[in-house]
Amino acid sequence: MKSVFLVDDSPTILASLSAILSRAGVPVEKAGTGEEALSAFKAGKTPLRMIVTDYHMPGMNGVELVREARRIPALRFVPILLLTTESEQARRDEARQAGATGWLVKPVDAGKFLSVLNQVAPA
Amino acid sequence: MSEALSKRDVLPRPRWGAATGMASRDLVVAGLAAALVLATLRLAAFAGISGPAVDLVVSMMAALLVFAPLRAFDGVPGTIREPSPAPTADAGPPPQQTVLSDDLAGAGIVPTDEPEEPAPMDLEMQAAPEAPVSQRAQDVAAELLAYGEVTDLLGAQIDAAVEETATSALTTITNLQALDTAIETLLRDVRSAQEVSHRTITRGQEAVSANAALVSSLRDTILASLEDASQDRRTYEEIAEQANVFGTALDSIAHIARQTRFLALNATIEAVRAGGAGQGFVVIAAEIRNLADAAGTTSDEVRLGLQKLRETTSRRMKQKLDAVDEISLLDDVEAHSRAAVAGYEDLSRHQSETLSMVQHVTEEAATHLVAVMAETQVQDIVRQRLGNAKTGLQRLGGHAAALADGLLDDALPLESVQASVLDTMRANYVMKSEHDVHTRRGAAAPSAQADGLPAIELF
Repeated sequence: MKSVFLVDDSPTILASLSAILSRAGVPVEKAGTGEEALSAFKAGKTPLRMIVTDYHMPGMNGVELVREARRIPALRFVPILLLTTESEQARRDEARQAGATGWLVKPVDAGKFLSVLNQVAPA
Repeated sequence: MSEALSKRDVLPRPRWGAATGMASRDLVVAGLAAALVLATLRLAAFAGISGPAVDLVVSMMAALLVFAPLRAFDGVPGTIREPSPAPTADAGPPPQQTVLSDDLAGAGIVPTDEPEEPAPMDLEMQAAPEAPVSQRAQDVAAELLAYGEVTDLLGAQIDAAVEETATSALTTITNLQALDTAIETLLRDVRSAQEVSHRTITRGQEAVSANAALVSSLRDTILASLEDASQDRRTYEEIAEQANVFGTALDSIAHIARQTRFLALNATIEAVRAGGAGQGFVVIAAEIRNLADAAGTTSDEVRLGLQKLRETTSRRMKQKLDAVDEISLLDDVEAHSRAAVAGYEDLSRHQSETLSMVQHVTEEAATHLVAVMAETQVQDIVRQRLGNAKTGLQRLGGHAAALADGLLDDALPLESVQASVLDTMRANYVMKSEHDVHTRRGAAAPSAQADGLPAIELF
Protein backbone atom coordinates (compact mmCIF):
# COMPACT_ATOMS: atom_id res chain seq x y z
CA MET A 1 0.00 0.00 0.00
CA LYS A 2 1.28 3.45 -0.88
CA SER A 3 2.29 5.82 1.91
CA VAL A 4 1.63 9.45 2.65
CA PHE A 5 4.87 11.32 3.34
CA LEU A 6 4.69 14.10 5.94
CA VAL A 7 7.37 16.78 6.16
CA ASP A 8 7.31 19.27 9.04
CA ASP A 9 9.77 20.56 11.60
CA SER A 10 7.01 20.46 14.20
CA PRO A 11 6.81 17.09 15.99
CA THR A 12 3.28 18.03 17.00
CA ILE A 13 2.13 18.38 13.41
CA LEU A 14 3.83 15.13 12.43
CA ALA A 15 2.26 13.29 15.36
CA SER A 16 -1.18 14.81 14.79
CA LEU A 17 -1.37 14.07 11.08
CA SER A 18 0.22 10.64 11.53
CA ALA A 19 -2.44 9.75 14.05
CA ILE A 20 -5.22 10.88 11.74
CA LEU A 21 -3.82 8.99 8.74
CA SER A 22 -2.94 5.85 10.69
CA ARG A 23 -6.44 5.72 12.09
CA ALA A 24 -7.73 5.81 8.53
CA GLY A 25 -5.44 2.90 7.70
CA VAL A 26 -3.05 4.96 5.61
CA PRO A 27 0.68 4.13 5.98
CA VAL A 28 2.75 7.17 6.93
CA GLU A 29 6.36 8.21 6.51
CA LYS A 30 7.80 11.30 8.16
CA ALA A 31 10.69 13.73 7.95
CA GLY A 32 11.57 16.74 10.08
CA THR A 33 13.35 18.73 7.36
CA GLY A 34 13.17 19.23 3.63
CA GLU A 35 16.64 17.79 3.17
CA GLU A 36 15.76 14.62 5.08
CA ALA A 37 12.61 14.24 3.01
CA LEU A 38 14.46 14.76 -0.25
CA SER A 39 16.97 12.05 0.67
CA ALA A 40 14.11 9.68 1.34
CA PHE A 41 12.46 10.65 -1.95
CA LYS A 42 15.64 9.92 -3.86
CA ALA A 43 16.07 6.60 -2.07
CA GLY A 44 12.55 5.81 -3.25
CA LYS A 45 12.08 2.80 -1.01
CA THR A 46 8.34 3.17 -0.71
CA PRO A 47 5.83 4.19 -3.37
CA LEU A 48 4.12 7.38 -2.29
CA ARG A 49 0.48 8.23 -2.53
CA MET A 50 0.81 11.86 -1.49
CA ILE A 51 3.30 14.28 0.05
CA VAL A 52 2.31 16.89 2.64
CA THR A 53 4.94 19.47 3.52
CA ASP A 54 5.20 22.51 5.74
CA TYR A 55 6.26 25.80 4.19
CA HIS A 56 8.56 27.22 6.86
CA MET A 57 11.26 24.79 7.89
CA PRO A 58 14.89 25.17 8.87
CA GLY A 59 16.96 24.87 5.70
CA MET A 60 15.00 23.91 2.64
CA ASN A 61 11.47 25.32 2.72
CA GLY A 62 8.37 23.61 1.47
CA VAL A 63 8.25 25.20 -1.97
CA GLU A 64 11.91 24.37 -2.59
CA LEU A 65 11.15 20.80 -1.60
CA VAL A 66 8.25 20.70 -4.07
CA ARG A 67 10.55 21.99 -6.78
CA GLU A 68 13.19 19.34 -6.01
CA ALA A 69 10.63 16.57 -5.69
CA ARG A 70 9.21 17.32 -9.12
CA ARG A 71 12.62 16.65 -10.61
CA ILE A 72 12.40 13.04 -9.39
CA PRO A 73 10.62 11.04 -12.12
CA ALA A 74 8.78 8.80 -9.66
CA LEU A 75 7.28 11.86 -7.95
CA ARG A 76 6.37 13.83 -11.04
CA PHE A 77 2.69 13.05 -10.70
CA VAL A 78 2.47 12.43 -6.95
CA PRO A 79 0.18 15.04 -5.35
CA ILE A 80 2.08 17.44 -3.09
CA LEU A 81 0.22 19.65 -0.64
CA LEU A 82 1.60 22.62 1.30
CA LEU A 83 0.31 22.58 4.88
CA THR A 84 1.23 25.85 6.54
CA THR A 85 0.17 28.78 8.65
CA GLU A 86 0.83 31.03 5.67
CA SER A 87 -2.24 32.39 4.00
CA GLU A 88 -0.91 34.94 1.53
CA GLN A 89 -1.92 34.62 -2.08
CA ALA A 90 1.62 35.31 -3.28
CA ARG A 91 2.97 32.30 -1.43
CA ARG A 92 0.19 30.17 -2.87
CA ASP A 93 1.07 31.29 -6.34
CA GLU A 94 4.70 30.49 -5.64
CA ALA A 95 3.74 26.99 -4.51
CA ARG A 96 1.52 26.45 -7.53
CA GLN A 97 4.28 27.49 -9.90
CA ALA A 98 6.69 25.14 -8.14
CA GLY A 99 4.36 22.23 -8.88
CA ALA A 100 2.35 21.90 -5.70
CA THR A 101 -1.08 20.32 -5.93
CA GLY A 102 -2.80 22.29 -3.20
CA TRP A 103 -2.57 24.55 -0.20
CA LEU A 104 -3.87 23.77 3.26
CA VAL A 105 -3.90 26.27 6.11
CA LYS A 106 -3.18 24.95 9.60
CA PRO A 107 -4.99 23.73 11.57
CA VAL A 108 -6.69 21.45 9.08
CA ASP A 109 -9.79 19.52 10.06
CA ALA A 110 -9.23 15.76 10.15
CA GLY A 111 -12.21 14.95 8.00
CA LYS A 112 -11.34 17.56 5.41
CA PHE A 113 -7.74 16.42 5.37
CA LEU A 114 -8.77 12.83 4.61
CA SER A 115 -11.29 14.10 2.09
CA VAL A 116 -8.56 16.01 0.25
CA LEU A 117 -6.36 12.91 0.35
CA ASN A 118 -9.07 10.79 -1.23
CA GLN A 119 -9.79 13.50 -3.75
CA VAL A 120 -6.28 14.11 -5.02
CA ALA A 121 -4.88 10.64 -4.39
CA PRO A 122 -7.61 8.00 -4.33
CA ALA A 123 -6.54 4.73 -2.75
CA MET B 1 6.09 56.80 11.30
CA SER B 2 7.91 54.24 9.30
CA GLU B 3 11.10 56.00 8.31
CA ALA B 4 14.04 56.36 10.64
CA LEU B 5 13.98 59.54 12.60
CA SER B 6 16.78 61.46 14.19
CA LYS B 7 16.67 62.24 17.86
CA ARG B 8 15.89 65.86 17.21
CA ASP B 9 12.85 64.81 15.22
CA VAL B 10 11.29 63.11 18.15
CA LEU B 11 12.63 64.75 21.26
CA PRO B 12 12.32 68.35 22.42
CA ARG B 13 15.80 69.48 23.10
CA PRO B 14 16.73 72.61 25.09
CA ARG B 15 19.34 74.96 23.92
CA TRP B 16 22.66 74.28 25.56
CA GLY B 17 23.58 77.02 27.96
CA ALA B 18 20.02 77.61 28.94
CA ALA B 19 19.07 77.49 32.56
CA THR B 20 17.41 74.10 32.13
CA GLY B 21 20.38 72.29 30.65
CA MET B 22 20.79 69.19 32.84
CA ALA B 23 17.21 69.09 33.98
CA SER B 24 15.98 68.88 30.40
CA ARG B 25 18.33 66.00 29.68
CA ASP B 26 16.78 64.21 32.62
CA LEU B 27 13.42 64.91 31.10
CA VAL B 28 14.61 63.35 27.88
CA VAL B 29 15.73 60.27 29.77
CA ALA B 30 12.43 59.98 31.55
CA GLY B 31 10.60 60.48 28.28
CA LEU B 32 12.61 57.73 26.62
CA ALA B 33 11.93 55.36 29.47
CA ALA B 34 8.25 56.15 29.41
CA ALA B 35 8.18 55.61 25.68
CA LEU B 36 9.75 52.20 26.21
CA VAL B 37 7.15 51.32 28.78
CA LEU B 38 4.43 52.14 26.31
CA ALA B 39 6.25 50.31 23.55
CA THR B 40 6.52 47.21 25.69
CA LEU B 41 2.85 47.24 26.46
CA ARG B 42 2.01 47.83 22.81
CA LEU B 43 4.30 45.01 21.80
CA ALA B 44 2.49 42.60 24.05
CA ALA B 45 -0.76 43.76 22.57
CA PHE B 46 0.52 43.44 19.00
CA ALA B 47 1.81 39.95 19.62
CA GLY B 48 -1.69 38.93 20.44
CA ILE B 49 -0.48 36.68 23.19
CA SER B 50 -2.14 36.31 26.50
CA GLY B 51 -2.21 34.11 29.52
CA PRO B 52 -0.96 34.42 33.10
CA ALA B 53 2.66 33.60 32.24
CA VAL B 54 2.80 36.08 29.39
CA ASP B 55 1.04 38.73 31.45
CA LEU B 56 3.57 38.21 34.23
CA VAL B 57 6.50 38.49 31.88
CA VAL B 58 5.12 41.62 30.23
CA SER B 59 4.36 43.14 33.63
CA MET B 60 7.90 42.40 34.82
CA MET B 61 9.34 44.09 31.81
CA ALA B 62 7.03 47.08 32.09
CA ALA B 63 7.90 47.43 35.77
CA LEU B 64 11.58 47.30 34.94
CA LEU B 65 11.10 49.96 32.31
CA VAL B 66 9.29 52.16 34.79
CA PHE B 67 11.81 51.52 37.51
CA ALA B 68 14.83 52.37 35.43
CA PRO B 69 14.15 56.08 34.94
CA LEU B 70 12.88 56.43 38.48
CA ARG B 71 16.29 55.50 39.74
CA ALA B 72 17.32 58.93 38.61
CA PHE B 73 14.90 60.49 41.11
CA ASP B 74 16.38 59.34 44.42
CA GLY B 75 13.58 56.82 44.74
CA VAL B 76 11.08 59.52 45.79
CA PRO B 77 8.24 59.87 43.34
CA GLY B 78 7.94 63.36 42.08
CA THR B 79 11.35 64.42 43.41
CA ILE B 80 14.18 64.72 41.02
CA ARG B 81 17.59 63.79 42.27
CA GLU B 82 20.25 66.42 42.23
CA PRO B 83 22.24 65.87 39.12
CA SER B 84 25.89 65.19 39.29
CA PRO B 85 27.98 68.27 39.08
CA ALA B 86 29.06 69.09 35.61
CA PRO B 87 32.64 68.19 34.93
CA THR B 88 33.24 71.40 33.12
CA ALA B 89 32.90 74.95 34.21
CA ASP B 90 30.51 75.87 31.40
CA ALA B 91 28.01 73.30 32.30
CA GLY B 92 25.49 76.03 33.05
CA PRO B 93 23.58 76.99 36.12
CA PRO B 94 22.68 74.50 38.84
CA PRO B 95 20.16 71.97 37.69
CA GLN B 96 16.57 72.57 38.51
CA GLN B 97 13.70 70.31 39.15
CA THR B 98 11.60 69.54 36.15
CA VAL B 99 8.35 67.92 35.28
CA LEU B 100 7.91 64.30 34.31
CA SER B 101 6.35 63.27 31.08
CA ASP B 102 2.60 62.99 30.84
CA ASP B 103 2.80 59.20 30.81
CA LEU B 104 4.69 59.07 34.08
CA ALA B 105 2.42 61.69 35.57
CA GLY B 106 -0.46 59.53 34.52
CA ALA B 107 1.16 56.69 36.40
CA GLY B 108 0.86 58.67 39.64
CA ILE B 109 4.29 60.28 39.61
CA VAL B 110 3.79 63.96 40.21
CA PRO B 111 6.50 66.57 40.68
CA THR B 112 6.57 68.29 44.04
CA ASP B 113 7.41 71.70 42.68
CA GLU B 114 5.92 73.76 39.95
CA PRO B 115 7.64 73.03 36.70
CA GLU B 116 9.46 75.66 34.88
CA GLU B 117 8.40 76.71 31.47
CA PRO B 118 9.75 74.25 28.98
CA ALA B 119 12.46 75.46 26.71
CA PRO B 120 11.35 76.31 23.23
CA MET B 121 11.60 73.49 20.77
CA ASP B 122 14.54 73.64 18.47
CA LEU B 123 14.09 71.25 15.60
CA GLU B 124 17.29 72.34 13.93
CA MET B 125 20.50 70.73 15.00
CA GLN B 126 22.46 73.34 16.94
CA ALA B 127 26.13 73.73 16.38
CA ALA B 128 26.62 74.01 20.07
CA PRO B 129 29.50 72.23 21.67
CA GLU B 130 28.79 68.62 22.77
CA ALA B 131 27.62 68.61 26.34
CA PRO B 132 29.11 66.19 28.79
CA VAL B 133 26.99 63.19 29.61
CA SER B 134 25.49 63.31 33.05
CA GLN B 135 25.81 60.47 35.52
CA ARG B 136 22.06 60.07 35.38
CA ALA B 137 22.10 59.67 31.63
CA GLN B 138 24.86 57.11 31.95
CA ASP B 139 22.84 55.23 34.58
CA VAL B 140 19.74 55.24 32.42
CA ALA B 141 21.75 54.15 29.41
CA ALA B 142 23.13 51.26 31.41
CA GLU B 143 19.64 50.29 32.41
CA LEU B 144 18.47 50.50 28.83
CA LEU B 145 21.33 48.27 27.78
CA ALA B 146 20.21 45.77 30.42
CA TYR B 147 16.93 45.36 28.56
CA GLY B 148 18.74 43.00 26.24
CA GLU B 149 19.20 40.61 29.11
CA VAL B 150 15.54 40.95 29.98
CA THR B 151 14.43 40.24 26.45
CA ASP B 152 16.81 37.28 26.31
CA LEU B 153 15.26 36.00 29.52
CA LEU B 154 11.79 36.49 28.09
CA GLY B 155 12.87 34.69 24.96
CA ALA B 156 14.14 31.79 27.04
CA GLN B 157 10.86 31.74 28.93
CA ILE B 158 8.97 31.64 25.67
CA ASP B 159 11.17 28.84 24.36
CA ALA B 160 10.60 26.85 27.53
CA ALA B 161 6.86 27.44 27.35
CA VAL B 162 6.79 26.36 23.70
CA GLU B 163 8.78 23.26 24.57
CA GLU B 164 6.34 22.44 27.34
CA THR B 165 3.34 22.88 25.06
CA ALA B 166 5.00 20.67 22.45
CA THR B 167 5.67 17.98 25.02
CA SER B 168 2.13 18.30 26.30
CA ALA B 169 0.70 18.12 22.78
CA LEU B 170 2.70 15.00 21.97
CA THR B 171 1.66 13.39 25.23
CA THR B 172 -1.93 14.29 24.46
CA ILE B 173 -1.66 12.71 21.02
CA THR B 174 -0.08 9.59 22.50
CA ASN B 175 -2.84 9.32 25.07
CA LEU B 176 -5.49 9.94 22.45
CA GLN B 177 -4.01 7.20 20.30
CA ALA B 178 -4.09 4.82 23.27
CA LEU B 179 -7.70 5.81 23.90
CA ASP B 180 -8.43 5.39 20.22
CA THR B 181 -6.92 1.90 20.29
CA ALA B 182 -9.07 1.03 23.28
CA ILE B 183 -12.15 2.33 21.49
CA GLU B 184 -11.23 0.36 18.38
CA THR B 185 -10.89 -2.77 20.51
CA LEU B 186 -14.23 -2.05 22.14
CA LEU B 187 -15.85 -1.53 18.76
CA ARG B 188 -14.37 -4.75 17.46
CA ASP B 189 -15.65 -6.62 20.51
CA VAL B 190 -19.07 -5.04 20.12
CA ARG B 191 -19.26 -6.02 16.46
CA SER B 192 -18.13 -9.53 17.35
CA ALA B 193 -20.74 -9.76 20.11
CA GLN B 194 -23.40 -8.57 17.68
CA GLU B 195 -22.40 -11.23 15.19
CA VAL B 196 -22.47 -13.92 17.89
CA SER B 197 -25.84 -12.69 19.08
CA HIS B 198 -27.19 -12.66 15.54
CA ARG B 199 -25.89 -16.17 14.88
CA THR B 200 -27.36 -17.42 18.14
CA ILE B 201 -30.76 -15.96 17.34
CA THR B 202 -30.65 -17.47 13.88
CA ARG B 203 -29.70 -20.87 15.26
CA GLY B 204 -32.43 -20.62 17.89
CA GLN B 205 -35.01 -19.74 15.27
CA GLU B 206 -33.86 -22.63 13.13
CA ALA B 207 -34.06 -24.97 16.12
CA VAL B 208 -37.55 -23.75 16.94
CA SER B 209 -38.64 -24.23 13.36
CA ALA B 210 -37.21 -27.76 13.32
CA ASN B 211 -38.85 -28.46 16.64
CA ALA B 212 -42.18 -27.18 15.40
CA ALA B 213 -41.90 -29.38 12.33
CA LEU B 214 -41.12 -32.37 14.51
CA VAL B 215 -44.02 -31.63 16.82
CA SER B 216 -46.28 -31.20 13.85
CA SER B 217 -45.13 -34.51 12.45
CA LEU B 218 -45.65 -36.22 15.80
CA ARG B 219 -49.09 -34.68 16.07
CA ASP B 220 -49.97 -35.97 12.62
CA THR B 221 -48.69 -39.39 13.56
CA ILE B 222 -50.65 -39.39 16.79
CA LEU B 223 -53.76 -38.10 15.08
CA ALA B 224 -53.41 -40.87 12.51
CA SER B 225 -52.96 -43.32 15.33
CA LEU B 226 -56.08 -41.97 16.98
CA GLU B 227 -57.95 -42.38 13.75
CA ASP B 228 -56.71 -45.94 13.54
CA ALA B 229 -57.69 -46.46 17.14
CA SER B 230 -61.14 -45.18 16.42
CA GLN B 231 -61.39 -47.54 13.48
CA ASP B 232 -60.01 -50.38 15.58
CA ARG B 233 -62.50 -49.56 18.31
CA ARG B 234 -65.35 -49.98 15.98
CA THR B 235 -63.83 -53.25 14.80
CA TYR B 236 -63.26 -54.40 18.34
CA GLU B 237 -66.78 -53.47 19.27
CA GLU B 238 -68.06 -55.52 16.32
CA ILE B 239 -65.80 -58.39 17.37
CA ALA B 240 -67.05 -58.10 20.93
CA GLU B 241 -70.59 -58.06 19.72
CA GLN B 242 -69.95 -61.09 17.57
CA ALA B 243 -68.21 -62.72 20.50
CA ASN B 244 -71.20 -62.04 22.69
CA VAL B 245 -73.43 -63.63 20.06
CA PHE B 246 -71.03 -66.47 19.86
CA GLY B 247 -71.07 -66.74 23.65
CA THR B 248 -74.84 -66.98 23.63
CA ALA B 249 -74.56 -69.75 21.06
CA LEU B 250 -72.04 -71.43 23.29
CA ASP B 251 -74.43 -71.23 26.18
CA SER B 252 -77.05 -72.92 24.03
CA ILE B 253 -74.52 -75.54 23.02
CA ALA B 254 -73.61 -76.10 26.67
CA HIS B 255 -77.28 -76.39 27.56
CA ILE B 256 -77.84 -78.85 24.75
CA ALA B 257 -74.80 -80.79 25.88
CA ARG B 258 -76.15 -81.01 29.40
CA GLN B 259 -79.57 -82.04 28.15
CA THR B 260 -77.93 -84.54 25.89
CA ARG B 261 -75.93 -85.92 28.80
CA PHE B 262 -79.14 -86.34 30.83
CA LEU B 263 -80.82 -87.86 27.86
CA ALA B 264 -77.91 -90.25 27.37
CA LEU B 265 -78.03 -91.13 31.03
CA ASN B 266 -81.73 -91.86 30.86
CA ALA B 267 -81.22 -93.87 27.70
CA THR B 268 -78.56 -95.90 29.41
CA ILE B 269 -80.89 -96.61 32.32
CA GLU B 270 -83.68 -97.62 30.01
CA ALA B 271 -81.29 -99.78 27.95
CA VAL B 272 -80.07 -101.55 31.05
CA ARG B 273 -83.65 -102.04 32.10
CA ALA B 274 -84.39 -103.58 28.70
CA GLY B 275 -81.80 -106.20 29.28
CA GLY B 276 -80.03 -107.89 26.45
CA ALA B 277 -82.06 -106.13 23.84
CA GLY B 278 -80.81 -102.81 25.06
CA GLN B 279 -77.11 -103.68 25.27
CA GLY B 280 -76.28 -102.04 21.99
CA PHE B 281 -78.26 -99.02 22.91
CA VAL B 282 -76.26 -98.75 26.14
CA VAL B 283 -73.11 -98.34 24.09
CA ILE B 284 -74.71 -95.70 21.92
CA ALA B 285 -75.98 -93.86 24.95
CA ALA B 286 -72.48 -93.89 26.44
CA GLU B 287 -71.04 -92.42 23.28
CA ILE B 288 -73.73 -89.75 23.21
CA ARG B 289 -72.85 -88.86 26.80
CA ASN B 290 -69.19 -88.65 25.89
CA LEU B 291 -70.03 -86.34 23.00
CA ALA B 292 -72.11 -84.15 25.29
CA ASP B 293 -69.28 -83.93 27.76
CA ALA B 294 -66.86 -83.04 24.97
CA ALA B 295 -69.25 -80.41 23.66
CA GLY B 296 -69.51 -78.90 27.14
CA THR B 297 -65.74 -78.84 27.62
CA THR B 298 -65.18 -77.30 24.19
CA SER B 299 -67.85 -74.73 24.88
CA ASP B 300 -66.12 -73.72 28.10
CA GLU B 301 -62.78 -73.44 26.33
CA VAL B 302 -64.26 -71.25 23.58
CA ARG B 303 -65.92 -69.03 26.23
CA LEU B 304 -62.60 -68.63 27.99
CA GLY B 305 -60.94 -67.67 24.65
CA LEU B 306 -63.62 -65.09 24.00
CA GLN B 307 -63.07 -63.60 27.45
CA LYS B 308 -59.34 -63.23 26.74
CA LEU B 309 -60.13 -61.66 23.39
CA ARG B 310 -62.35 -59.07 25.09
CA GLU B 311 -59.65 -58.22 27.63
CA THR B 312 -56.94 -57.87 24.96
CA THR B 313 -59.14 -55.69 22.80
CA SER B 314 -60.04 -53.48 25.70
CA ARG B 315 -56.39 -53.06 26.68
CA ARG B 316 -55.39 -52.18 23.12
CA MET B 317 -58.16 -49.66 22.91
CA LYS B 318 -57.04 -48.02 26.11
CA GLN B 319 -53.44 -47.79 24.87
CA LYS B 320 -54.54 -46.16 21.65
CA LEU B 321 -56.74 -43.70 23.43
CA ASP B 322 -53.82 -42.66 25.70
CA ALA B 323 -52.29 -40.99 22.59
CA VAL B 324 -54.70 -38.12 23.18
CA ASP B 325 -52.72 -37.25 26.29
CA GLU B 326 -49.50 -37.40 24.28
CA ILE B 327 -50.85 -34.79 21.88
CA SER B 328 -51.65 -32.53 24.76
CA LEU B 329 -48.13 -33.03 26.08
CA LEU B 330 -46.68 -32.22 22.66
CA ASP B 331 -48.68 -29.03 22.52
CA ASP B 332 -47.30 -28.04 25.87
CA VAL B 333 -43.75 -28.79 24.74
CA GLU B 334 -44.21 -26.76 21.59
CA ALA B 335 -45.71 -23.84 23.47
CA HIS B 336 -42.91 -23.83 26.03
CA SER B 337 -40.32 -24.04 23.26
CA ARG B 338 -41.83 -21.10 21.41
CA ALA B 339 -42.07 -19.10 24.61
CA ALA B 340 -38.44 -19.82 25.47
CA VAL B 341 -37.24 -18.77 22.03
CA ALA B 342 -39.44 -15.67 22.08
CA GLY B 343 -37.89 -14.71 25.40
CA TYR B 344 -34.42 -15.30 24.05
CA GLU B 345 -35.25 -13.23 20.98
CA ASP B 346 -36.36 -10.38 23.22
CA LEU B 347 -33.19 -10.70 25.24
CA SER B 348 -31.08 -10.83 22.12
CA ARG B 349 -32.92 -7.86 20.61
CA HIS B 350 -32.33 -5.84 23.75
CA GLN B 351 -28.69 -6.93 23.74
CA SER B 352 -28.39 -6.00 20.08
CA GLU B 353 -29.93 -2.57 20.72
CA THR B 354 -27.52 -2.02 23.60
CA LEU B 355 -24.58 -3.07 21.49
CA SER B 356 -25.74 -0.79 18.68
CA MET B 357 -25.96 2.09 21.12
CA VAL B 358 -22.47 1.30 22.45
CA GLN B 359 -21.19 1.14 18.89
CA HIS B 360 -22.80 4.47 18.03
CA VAL B 361 -21.40 6.14 21.12
CA THR B 362 -17.91 4.74 20.66
CA GLU B 363 -17.87 5.73 16.99
CA GLU B 364 -18.94 9.22 17.95
CA ALA B 365 -16.26 9.31 20.64
CA ALA B 366 -13.71 8.18 18.07
CA THR B 367 -14.77 11.01 15.77
CA HIS B 368 -14.26 13.55 18.56
CA LEU B 369 -10.97 11.89 19.36
CA VAL B 370 -9.71 12.44 15.84
CA ALA B 371 -10.94 16.02 15.97
CA VAL B 372 -8.94 16.59 19.14
CA MET B 373 -5.90 15.04 17.48
CA ALA B 374 -6.30 17.55 14.68
CA GLU B 375 -6.68 20.39 17.16
CA THR B 376 -3.20 19.72 18.53
CA GLN B 377 -1.94 21.40 15.36
CA VAL B 378 -2.75 24.63 17.13
CA GLN B 379 0.36 24.06 19.23
CA ASP B 380 2.45 24.60 16.10
CA ILE B 381 0.56 27.79 15.35
CA VAL B 382 1.12 29.02 18.90
CA ARG B 383 4.78 28.06 18.58
CA GLN B 384 5.16 30.22 15.50
CA ARG B 385 3.27 33.13 17.00
CA LEU B 386 5.29 33.01 20.19
CA GLY B 387 8.40 32.77 18.04
CA ASN B 388 7.37 35.98 16.32
CA ALA B 389 6.64 37.57 19.70
CA LYS B 390 10.09 36.50 20.87
CA THR B 391 11.65 38.10 17.81
CA GLY B 392 9.68 41.26 18.58
CA LEU B 393 11.03 41.27 22.12
CA GLN B 394 14.55 40.88 20.84
CA ARG B 395 14.00 43.79 18.49
CA LEU B 396 12.66 45.79 21.41
CA GLY B 397 15.83 44.99 23.36
CA GLY B 398 17.86 46.11 20.39
CA HIS B 399 15.80 49.26 20.20
CA ALA B 400 16.48 49.93 23.89
CA ALA B 401 20.19 49.47 23.27
CA ALA B 402 19.99 51.90 20.39
CA LEU B 403 18.25 54.39 22.64
CA ALA B 404 21.00 53.95 25.21
CA ASP B 405 23.60 54.62 22.56
CA GLY B 406 21.63 57.62 21.38
CA LEU B 407 21.40 58.88 24.91
CA LEU B 408 25.15 58.89 25.25
CA ASP B 409 25.93 60.09 21.77
CA ASP B 410 23.94 62.90 20.22
CA ALA B 411 25.41 62.15 16.85
CA LEU B 412 23.61 58.83 16.60
CA PRO B 413 20.25 58.89 14.87
CA LEU B 414 17.23 57.72 16.75
CA GLU B 415 14.79 55.31 15.20
CA SER B 416 11.24 55.10 16.39
CA VAL B 417 9.87 51.95 17.99
CA GLN B 418 7.31 51.94 15.23
CA ALA B 419 9.96 51.67 12.55
CA SER B 420 12.48 49.50 14.34
CA VAL B 421 10.09 47.06 16.00
CA LEU B 422 6.43 47.25 15.08
CA ASP B 423 6.71 47.71 11.32
CA THR B 424 9.31 44.94 11.10
CA MET B 425 7.14 42.65 13.14
CA ARG B 426 4.20 43.28 10.87
CA ALA B 427 6.30 42.70 7.79
CA ASN B 428 7.29 39.28 9.12
CA TYR B 429 3.80 38.05 9.95
CA VAL B 430 2.73 35.01 7.99
CA MET B 431 -0.66 34.41 9.54
CA LYS B 432 -3.70 36.45 8.78
CA SER B 433 -4.69 36.31 12.44
CA GLU B 434 -1.40 38.01 13.35
CA HIS B 435 -2.14 40.83 10.95
CA ASP B 436 -5.66 41.07 12.27
CA VAL B 437 -4.50 41.38 15.89
CA HIS B 438 -1.87 43.93 14.91
CA THR B 439 -4.40 45.98 13.00
CA ARG B 440 -7.03 45.76 15.69
CA ARG B 441 -4.71 46.62 18.58
CA GLY B 442 -2.53 49.09 16.82
CA ALA B 443 -5.04 50.73 14.51
CA ALA B 444 -2.51 50.18 11.78
CA ALA B 445 -3.25 50.09 8.12
CA PRO B 446 -5.07 46.99 6.93
CA SER B 447 -2.81 44.06 6.26
CA ALA B 448 -1.66 43.00 2.85
CA GLN B 449 -3.16 39.60 3.49
CA ALA B 450 -6.08 38.88 1.27
CA ASP B 451 -9.31 38.20 3.06
CA GLY B 452 -11.53 35.33 2.11
CA LEU B 453 -8.81 32.99 0.89
CA PRO B 454 -9.95 29.42 1.37
CA ALA B 455 -8.23 27.35 4.03
CA ILE B 456 -8.03 24.54 1.51
CA GLU B 457 -7.20 25.30 -2.10
CA LEU B 458 -6.47 22.69 -4.71
CA PHE B 459 -4.62 24.06 -7.70
